[in-house]
Amino acid sequence: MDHWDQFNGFVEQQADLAFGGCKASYQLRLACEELFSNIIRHAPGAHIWLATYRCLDPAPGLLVQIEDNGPHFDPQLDVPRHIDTEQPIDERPIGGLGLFLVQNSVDQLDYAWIDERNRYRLLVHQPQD
Amino acid sequence: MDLTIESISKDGYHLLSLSGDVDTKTAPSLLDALTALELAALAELRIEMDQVGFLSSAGLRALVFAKQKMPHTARLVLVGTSADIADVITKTGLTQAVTLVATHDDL
Repeated sequence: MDHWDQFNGFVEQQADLAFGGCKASYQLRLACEELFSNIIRHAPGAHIWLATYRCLDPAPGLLVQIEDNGPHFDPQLDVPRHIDTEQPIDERPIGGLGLFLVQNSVDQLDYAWIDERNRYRLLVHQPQD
Repeated sequence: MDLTIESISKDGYHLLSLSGDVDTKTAPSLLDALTALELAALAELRIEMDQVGFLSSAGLRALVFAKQKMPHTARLVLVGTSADIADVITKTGLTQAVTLVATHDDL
């Protein structure tokens, strides 16, 4: 948690610069926060690298790349997660919301194990309005 | 950003006023504040959210925890929730567990 605020603050700042503080900013920040939280839980003490890229082609947007040198952990971001929204609250599992929110907050998402690092890439397109 | 929590017992309900972000770092303090309440005996819990700029799944889990501990007939009310946070609550199907209102006058 040492650099928690710096990581999240950087993402918030970059998202606000790219999207002007609209819904897309919030969603990118939410997705990144959930991933940071996942990394801290699965790889406590790991180093985390964070970079953002402004994309122009094929559509304008902001790409966030997060890497960590913790143990190989594939969260299977390509497997859609579902939440039974009709399930009574008393029967709802307390977990499972984080990666659901990651998947449902960004336009593109991928994971790779590269050079002994877990690498996550999240892309949010510039809103059309 | 930090989270400050003010907990006040009112006539007919308990009020938690939040200010800041409810994320992985700060959600434990919300959970502590909820745990300190006698949730099983509450008829209504109102949480003022108008000074909350961000809510992650850690905060949602705290809300689910509270609702699961409260009586079936009890209400968990979020007051002044931002559109972004309301969207997250809707997306995760938690609108069946919480009542969203703009102000206390809407109750």
